[in-house]
Amino acid sequence: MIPLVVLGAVIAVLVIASGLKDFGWTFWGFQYRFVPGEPEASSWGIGVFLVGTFLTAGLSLVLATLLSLALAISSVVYLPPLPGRLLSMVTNLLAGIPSVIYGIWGFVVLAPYFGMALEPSLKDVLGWLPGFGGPDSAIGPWGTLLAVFILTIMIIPLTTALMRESLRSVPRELVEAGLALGATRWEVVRRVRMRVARNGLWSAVLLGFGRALGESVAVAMVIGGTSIALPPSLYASSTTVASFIFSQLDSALLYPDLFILLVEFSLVLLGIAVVVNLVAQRFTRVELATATTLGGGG
Amino acid sequence: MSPDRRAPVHVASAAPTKEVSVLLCPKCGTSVPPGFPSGPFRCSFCGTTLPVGTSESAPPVSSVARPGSAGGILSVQGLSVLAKAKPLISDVSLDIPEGKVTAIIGPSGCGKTTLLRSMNRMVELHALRVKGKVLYQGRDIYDAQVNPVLVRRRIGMVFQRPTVFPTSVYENVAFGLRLDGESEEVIEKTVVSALHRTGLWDEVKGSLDLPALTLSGGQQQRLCIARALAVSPRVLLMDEPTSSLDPVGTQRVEDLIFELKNDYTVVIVTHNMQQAARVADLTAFMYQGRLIEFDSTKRIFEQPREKLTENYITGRFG
Repeated sequence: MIPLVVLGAVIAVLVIASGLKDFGWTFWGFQYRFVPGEPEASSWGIGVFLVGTFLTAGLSLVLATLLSLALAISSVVYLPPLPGRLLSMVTNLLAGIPSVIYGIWGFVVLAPYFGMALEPSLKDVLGWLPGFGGPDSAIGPWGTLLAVFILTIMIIPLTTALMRESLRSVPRELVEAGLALGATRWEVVRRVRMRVARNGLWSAVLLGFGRALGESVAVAMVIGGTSIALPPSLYASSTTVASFIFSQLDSALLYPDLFILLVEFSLVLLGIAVVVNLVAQRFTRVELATATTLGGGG
Repeated sequence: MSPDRRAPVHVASAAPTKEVSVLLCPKCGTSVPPGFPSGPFRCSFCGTTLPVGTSESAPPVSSVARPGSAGGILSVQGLSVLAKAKPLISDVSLDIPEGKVTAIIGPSGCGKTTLLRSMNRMVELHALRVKGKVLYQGRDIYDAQVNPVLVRRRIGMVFQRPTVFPTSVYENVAFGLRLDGESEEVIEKTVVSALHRTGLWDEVKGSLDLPALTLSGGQQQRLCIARALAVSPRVLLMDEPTSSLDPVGTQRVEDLIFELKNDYTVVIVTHNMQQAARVADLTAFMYQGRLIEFDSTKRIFEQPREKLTENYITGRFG
C-alpha cells in the first residue's frame, strides 16, 4: 500500500511538472493537433484521449459487471457442480486468449455485423438516448461500440473469476442462516452473499476497470483511432490513451515532441492505474478483515 | 442388543390445546399470525390465500382440533436420511410435543444434527436423500406441494456458532421481516419485542445501529435467537447453540430456552448431557443413526430402559 502511494505521488509530480514544462496547461485541454515539424502550430491536449479511455472502459465495465455477476451467481449458487465447473472453465479459458486475437476477431469478424446490423438496430430502438442516435463511424465499421464490446469480453474472465471467489468465500453457515429464516435462494444471494462479499465484488469491478483502462492492442485495432475530437456518438470512432500510445509509437521515433508526449501519456495512464489499484486493494483488505471476523465466529 | 430395542419409540404429546385468539388455515391448520385480518390471509405454510373477511373459513383454534396435535406438533415417522447409499439416520420415529423442550443427545456422528436438520428440510441443502415423513401439524413437510421456504418460516433454526450477518444489530433481527415486505413500523415493533424476549434489549438498546459483529459471542447467539423469533416460528430447532459460548453465555442461553418453552416448541441438539438434563422436558438418545430411547428427561437420566442409554449417560462411552 505505502509503496503504491509513494509511486502515485512520484508519478503525479512527474506528470504535472514535466507536462507543464513541455506542453504548458494545454496538455490538460481537449485540443489535440499534431503538425509534424511545427511545434507552435500543434496542440497536445490529453482530454480527448481521457474521455475515450473512460468512456470505453466505463461502458465495458458496466456490461462486464452485469454479465460477470450473472455468471458468478449462476456457477456458485444455481448450477449443479458439473455445469458450474464447465462454466468456470470456459470463462477462465477466455482469459488465456492473447489480446491481439480479440483485436483481429473484432476487426475482421465482428466489425461488419456491428456496422450493418447491430448499430442500425440500436439507432432505431435506442436512438432517443444520448450517444445512441448520432452519426456512424466515418472510417468504416470500426468505432467506440465495437471497442466497448471487445473490452467487455476481455475483462469478463477476470471480473467473473474474482466475483465467483468472493461469492464462494461467504461462510456456508451464513447462507444457511438466511435460508433457515425462510429466505429463498435469490433472497440469500441478494441479502446475504452479495452483502458479505460486497468488498470483494467492488474489488473485482475496480480491477476489471484497471484492465480495461490499460488495454491497448485490441482496442487500437477496432476503435477507429480518430483523435481530433470527442466522439459524437457511440458508433463513431474515438481513441484511448493506451491505444494512442500503441498506434503512434512508430511516428514518435521520427518526432521527438510526439515521443515526449507519449511518455507523458504513459505516466498519466500509470497514475490512473495506481489510483484504481489502490482503491481496489482497500476493498480487498476490508474483505479479508470481514472474512476473518466472520470466520472467528463467537 | 435385541432387534426390538432399535424399534422407534413414540411418546404421546402431553401438550394441552391452548386457548388462543388466533385463526387456523382451513387447508393445513397452520395458525394465522395475530396481525390478521388487516389484509388478505396467505398461509405461511401451504400458501393458501383467502380474501379479507373470510374468517369463517378459518375457524378459531378453540373450536377445531388442531391436526396432528395428538401426536405432537412435529411428528417424525420412519425417517431415514441417506448420503448417496449410506444411511445417516435410519427409521427414526418420534413425536415432538408442543410447548416443551425436547433434547436430542448422543455421541458424535450418531445423526442427531441430521435428525434436527431434517425437521425443517435443511438436510436438502446438502443433497441428502430423505425417506419417511415429518409431519408438522399433521402435514408432511416433504410433500411435493409444500414449499421448503415456508416450512422454515414456521420451524426456525439456531446454529452451533452465532451466524450474525455483517449488518447492524437492528438489521439482523429485521432480516426475516424485510423478506415479507413488512412496514417499518411493524418491523421496529417486532425487533424491539424480539430483543426484549431474548433479554438483549437492555444490553443493545443504545447500539442498535452498531455492527452486530461487535457483540460478544453470547450476545450474538441470543441475537440469532431473536432473529429467528422475529419471524414468529412455532418451533425452534437449536443445534448445539451453546457449544461455542463461555459459561456465562451458556447460562444466559439456557435461561432463555427455559423461558421460550412457554410460547414455542424447542428441539435442542446437545452433546452436553448436563445441559439436556437442565433444560429439556423430554430427551431422545441416538446411537449410530438410530433412535434408541425417547422419554421424559427424568426417566432417561434416572431410569433408562435401554442398557445402551445407561452406558452413555453414565459415561461408559461417548
